[in-house]
Amino acid sequence: MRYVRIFLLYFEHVYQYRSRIFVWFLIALLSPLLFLLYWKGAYGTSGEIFLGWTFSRVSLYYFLFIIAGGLLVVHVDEDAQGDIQEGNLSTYLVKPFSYFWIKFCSELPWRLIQGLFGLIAFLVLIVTYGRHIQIQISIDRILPILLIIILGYMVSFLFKMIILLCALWTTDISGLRQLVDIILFIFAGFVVPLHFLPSWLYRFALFLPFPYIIYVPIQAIIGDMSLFELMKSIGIQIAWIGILFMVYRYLWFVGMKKYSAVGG
Amino acid sequence: MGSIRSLIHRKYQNVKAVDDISFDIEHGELVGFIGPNGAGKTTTLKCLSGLLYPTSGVVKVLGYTPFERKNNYLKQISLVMGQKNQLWWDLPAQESFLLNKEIYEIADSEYKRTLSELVDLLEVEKLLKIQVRKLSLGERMKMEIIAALIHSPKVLFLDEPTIGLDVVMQKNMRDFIRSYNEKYKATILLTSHYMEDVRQLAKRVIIIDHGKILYDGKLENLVKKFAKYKVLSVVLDEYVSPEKLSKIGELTNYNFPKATIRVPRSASNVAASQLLQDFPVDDLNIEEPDIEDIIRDVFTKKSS
Amino acid sequence: MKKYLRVYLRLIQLNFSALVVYRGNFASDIFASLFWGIFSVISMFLLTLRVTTVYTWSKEELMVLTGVYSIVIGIFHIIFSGNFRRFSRVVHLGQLDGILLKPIDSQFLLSFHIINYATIPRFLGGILFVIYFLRRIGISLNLFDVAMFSIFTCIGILLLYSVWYLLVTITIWQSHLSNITDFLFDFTSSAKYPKEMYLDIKQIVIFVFVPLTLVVTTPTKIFLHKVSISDMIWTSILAAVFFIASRKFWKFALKFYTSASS
Repeated sequence: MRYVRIFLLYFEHVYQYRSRIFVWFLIALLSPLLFLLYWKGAYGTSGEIFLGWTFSRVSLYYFLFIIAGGLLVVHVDEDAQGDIQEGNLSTYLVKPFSYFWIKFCSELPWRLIQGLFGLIAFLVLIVTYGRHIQIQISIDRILPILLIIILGYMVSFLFKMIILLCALWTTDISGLRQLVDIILFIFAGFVVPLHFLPSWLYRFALFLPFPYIIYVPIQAIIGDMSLFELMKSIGIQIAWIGILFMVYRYLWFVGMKKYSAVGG
Repeated sequence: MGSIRSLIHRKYQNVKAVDDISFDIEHGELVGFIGPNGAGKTTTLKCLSGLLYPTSGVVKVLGYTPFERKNNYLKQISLVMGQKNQLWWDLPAQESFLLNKEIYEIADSEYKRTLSELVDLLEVEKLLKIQVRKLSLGERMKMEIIAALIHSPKVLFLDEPTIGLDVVMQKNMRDFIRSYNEKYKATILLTSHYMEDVRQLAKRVIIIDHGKILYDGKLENLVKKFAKYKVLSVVLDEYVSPEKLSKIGELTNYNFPKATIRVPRSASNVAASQLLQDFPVDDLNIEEPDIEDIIRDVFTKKSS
Repeated sequence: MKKYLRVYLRLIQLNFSALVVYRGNFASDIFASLFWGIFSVISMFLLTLRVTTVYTWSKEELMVLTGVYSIVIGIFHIIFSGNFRRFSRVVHLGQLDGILLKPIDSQFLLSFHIINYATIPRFLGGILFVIYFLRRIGISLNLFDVAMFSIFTCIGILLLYSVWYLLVTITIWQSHLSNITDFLFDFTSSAKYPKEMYLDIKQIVIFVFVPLTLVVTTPTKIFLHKVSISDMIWTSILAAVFFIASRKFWKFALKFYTSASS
């Protein structure tokens, strides 16, 4: 339970940075709205475009993205510079806490606060622009949906922790991070709902963990995934968490040997 | 609870960094500003160089108002502050000098001459073509100094020039400052909280604390004015008890066979002869007190 | 003034020398910038996959817009963006003091210090892209088009620079808002959409976007032979206004920075 205390400490610390978080929130706000504006022109006066995505549904997708982009996109890999290149990792290692969980507690406040900003923006947008938009969530779906969101966060966090560890092997991690950003942009559903990808690419994407970070949680909330589909997604998320966790452990094990060998 | 209150309510306090100080400095003078940390030294330098404008009062350097930061003014001054570096890390220092050459509009011939003089003075000829990142701390500092002086400033502001340096480098730095002042007759203002800097360099000293000037004048006069006592340092032949020695004056240090005794200035001769009469003395010296002690006394007196 | 030109030439040379030292990073930087170029192409491709026209722009025209975006952003990244990224660090670490005491305009030194040669391939890629899609549409260009395009690309970059400089100056007061630069990168990407898209939203919001949208749309329309005089006039006026505003705001910020209360 000491991790709860650590989390609260980080929360208080992060709260001081709320104006900085607000700037990040503006970033999370801007892209989806721009894409939506684009689609407004694309849809024109006609209703449906294809595959059941009305303009209402696309709007809902991007509105929800404002929350998801802030809440579920993890930035812990940015600590690579400080922790690994500059050696702050050592200060974590001598403490009786797991580095993984410390990072978890330090990242979560940022995500929650940004998610909160996103939620407020979402509500404002729904009230002003989206009265015709309907979300159908039946009571028995609430738990699976919550689970999908939480698991999506875990996939996101694990993935970024693996990227963080890559800094143990390369001096310049920024190139890798940019590549990862682009992959996420395309395959997590930042640019367009994954459904809009060419169908072969869409099926390929579903083999990757990325859709399960953003796209699937949003789809779950929009509400027309059947209970079976929800359960299936949860299963895939759990599987990915397992895989990523093993990769992380392996990299940690090998990486720590390297790190301490260099006298870090 | 207190921490949550502070999340919402931030308190600020108004603190005067520098409170009504006045002084005049002549061309070519080498003046030392001393005072404890937070005394207002750096603030004063920033006002003089043009980085801060004062809330009230007049500042004039070389006939210019510093905080207007006119180009003609800036070309004649230089501020060297601690470890802040302006050299390009991955290139030889020489390249950074060339950039300064263009910024300060230094003519080719003048540039060559100044550069070679400074390089000779600092003995860094062989290091010019080496990347700055590969130089040692001392070598890097020398290059930073060249970069700061390449435009032959008439006034040089040095903020804590010896901080963070080892003993040898400190000496080199002091020697350099002294030579530069003698050779180029540049006016130099340096701040420090190291006594040795002042002792070695400054004939004139300004003591500043809590934003106010406590003393402005020659170093020797400082000693005479504020030193109310002298120090007798004794080497004894045989052991004498501390109580007995304390009868002469305040026993500040006793490490047999050496002892130091503080006596009032006027009574120093009397005390010395009494020592020689009553005790088995091998060697005796009458000395001025340490400058550090004097300044400490000046400070504690003012702040109490 | 000649001095500024000489200083800039020296900066070009210094940046190039630094590049030679860090050849390894240079290669990965080129790849990174090409990635972003390819990404903006891919995202426009994805967006236009299932559509025919958007706000009176055809698919090919949107691709030309994307190419011009790479050209404009390419130049902007080469000359300016490294300096913006460095900005808050300079202020935070107190290096601004050293800059202020140099007998040269501080805005100049801060804006031009770093040159990012690694973005050149992206810039060139943008040019090839534009040529290809113009050919697809069947437009041929004469010298006048190219001259006008170049002029308005420069005006557009001046506008973009001024908007960035205005916002980045805020970090003098709030140095922890260094992620303003990240926001600006994102905000600037709104320039890759046609200006017409922004006319569809509430008036107040338009004002936020209009400067940016003109940066890329105006030169593109010159090439597409669709440009209007009012576009060109507005772009020029806004560039001048924002540039002057950025100077004034900077001087104001310096006044604050050099006051005893900072």
